Amino acid sequence: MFRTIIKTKLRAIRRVLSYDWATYFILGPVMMGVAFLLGRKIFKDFAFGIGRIQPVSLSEETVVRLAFAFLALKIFFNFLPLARRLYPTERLLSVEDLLPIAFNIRYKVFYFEQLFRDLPFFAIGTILLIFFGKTDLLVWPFMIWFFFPGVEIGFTLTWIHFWSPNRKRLGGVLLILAFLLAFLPVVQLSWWADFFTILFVPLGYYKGFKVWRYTDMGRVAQFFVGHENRKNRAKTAALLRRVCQLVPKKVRPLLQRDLILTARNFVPHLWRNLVLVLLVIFSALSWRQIDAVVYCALATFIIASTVSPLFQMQRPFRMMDAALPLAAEHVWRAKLSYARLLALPIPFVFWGIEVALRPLPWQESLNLLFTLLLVGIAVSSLVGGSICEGDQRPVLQYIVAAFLCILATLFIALFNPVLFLLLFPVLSSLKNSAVIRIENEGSA
Amino acid sequence: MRLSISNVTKRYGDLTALHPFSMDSEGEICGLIGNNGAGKSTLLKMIVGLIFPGKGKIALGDLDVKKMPETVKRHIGYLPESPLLYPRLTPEELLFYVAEIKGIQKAKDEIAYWLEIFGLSEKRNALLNDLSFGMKKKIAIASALIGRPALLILDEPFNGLDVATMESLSEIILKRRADGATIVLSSHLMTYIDRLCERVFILKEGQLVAEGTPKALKTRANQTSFHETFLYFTKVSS
Repeated sequence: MFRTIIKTKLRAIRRVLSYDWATYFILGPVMMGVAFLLGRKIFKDFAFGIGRIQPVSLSEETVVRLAFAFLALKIFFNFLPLARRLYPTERLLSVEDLLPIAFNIRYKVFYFEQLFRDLPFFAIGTILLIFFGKTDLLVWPFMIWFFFPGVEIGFTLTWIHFWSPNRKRLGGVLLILAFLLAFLPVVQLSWWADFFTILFVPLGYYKGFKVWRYTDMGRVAQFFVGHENRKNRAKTAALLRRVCQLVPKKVRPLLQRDLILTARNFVPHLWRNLVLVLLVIFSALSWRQIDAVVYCALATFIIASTVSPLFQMQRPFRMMDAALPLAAEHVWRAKLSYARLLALPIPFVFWGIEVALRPLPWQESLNLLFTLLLVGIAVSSLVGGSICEGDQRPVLQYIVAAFLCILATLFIALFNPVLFLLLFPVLSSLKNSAVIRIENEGSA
Repeated sequence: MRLSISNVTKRYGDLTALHPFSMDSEGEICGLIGNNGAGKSTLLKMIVGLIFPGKGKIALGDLDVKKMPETVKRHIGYLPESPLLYPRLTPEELLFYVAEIKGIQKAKDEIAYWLEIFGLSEKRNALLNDLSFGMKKKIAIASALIGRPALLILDEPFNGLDVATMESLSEIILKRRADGATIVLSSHLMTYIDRLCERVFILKEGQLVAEGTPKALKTRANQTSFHETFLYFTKVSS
């Protein structure tokens, strides 16, 4: 039975790959390769040379701690998507839900699926290790990748089975994880022993307890809907509507909708991105050899990039927009405004950190705020503006946006703030390209 | 507003989804019927401007659907066959969203009216995710009706509705017709097609096989029920 299911799934994957082979086998690898090579060039020869980024030497302990942090965050933020896929509360029943397939077989199938889904995460980890010259650690992402689905699935299933999912409790677990990561004696750990322990413990655990039960479905359903009462819902919507008064009338309803959806967890990526921004803030407090402008650009990029999964997740619902009297340009402008609005506080946060840690004369302080604001606006605009690039795949859009953002940051922060003006022709070109793509999507 | 469709075709690679099709209609209820895959939804989507015809022209009044899609859509209310509504919005928010994009002034009263008509006033602040299929369908119908558009395109409007709502929807359709709107609807429920439509178009594999008033079609097929009439035309043509 296991083989039949895997064979069918592989057939489906093969079809997807054969339709989009150019994206997966040519465009994707070319963009990844170019991103890597150019990124390294910019990082090592350009930014180091000018002195905005001093060489950062990461010790093995730091790398391990960072790796633990990201793995823990991945488990935590994968809780909702995994729960959605494991229990059919927010999705239609799949054929596997209806067939008499034993849960241990479904678990194994799920494990394999998750292995494929986790591949990009570990591939990026590998690239980062090469980027920072930690080639002696390259074997680890590969080994962790094998057991990691068991840990993720095990955590989600166990939590749902033994405790009703609750956002506050999950937040508490995240804090405990953060505490452990900060104080865990990672250098004393033996990697090989850990590898085998973590590989077999989830499997043995599942064999023993078998916690994937449909009777848990009610708890999951409650978790997805029960966190906000109707009164609060109306209040939040009214507040967001007020925020949207800042944007032009034609874009307003779209932006209102996007913000309401974000507040209601339609895009759980927002929480993940917020935690990543917190990590950047923590880095800004700890590693002072990197300029505040660089941190600001990075944090702005992370938070503004929430727009990409939002746009992708809205794809099935865009039929409704297509039937409304809505210009493609307004769809694009709404996403641009969304990215800018989300990233609005970031420059002020990093300016605050800088002023608090390094007392500056007021002229210099204002100058820094001005530069941070320009960088913040440029980066968020480029992330929002490039929303239709990358063939609706967030990863490809991130690469395009990252290039543009690196250039914008370098131009504004290192050469001359007047170069901010270059943003306008770039945005105009991105707009024209987006309008064509959105119109084509509607009338294919 | 007059809906004019002249010699419209649609091909997907080797498959001809719709052979040349023409119709003119103003202020009447037109029914589009046919078996699954007959090309009904394709034609309806082309009228709304969601897909463009390979050949031919569709116009609403003087407005060409292909050249001025935005302006045309202001006058159209469209209910797709399987409406997908944002699960994390409330009915009221969704209707406000539609109303604002359509540029409807004082939408609050109209939204309250449609929610009342469909018996969903109490659910106005519930998430769409928590509503039943039928309730979601009612919201989708309300979003098509909002702003009282001159052209209503309803793709399988009765699917998934309870009997009482089907009856009230029939009344709403007749009322919109009395107000001068043009209505094009597709359905597999022949009773409603017979009762509501003034003209019926029967499609088979993308081709128009019969057209006329329900009464005239029944006479031509020598049948008393419209159900049998439909089977007669779809069999005869093969």
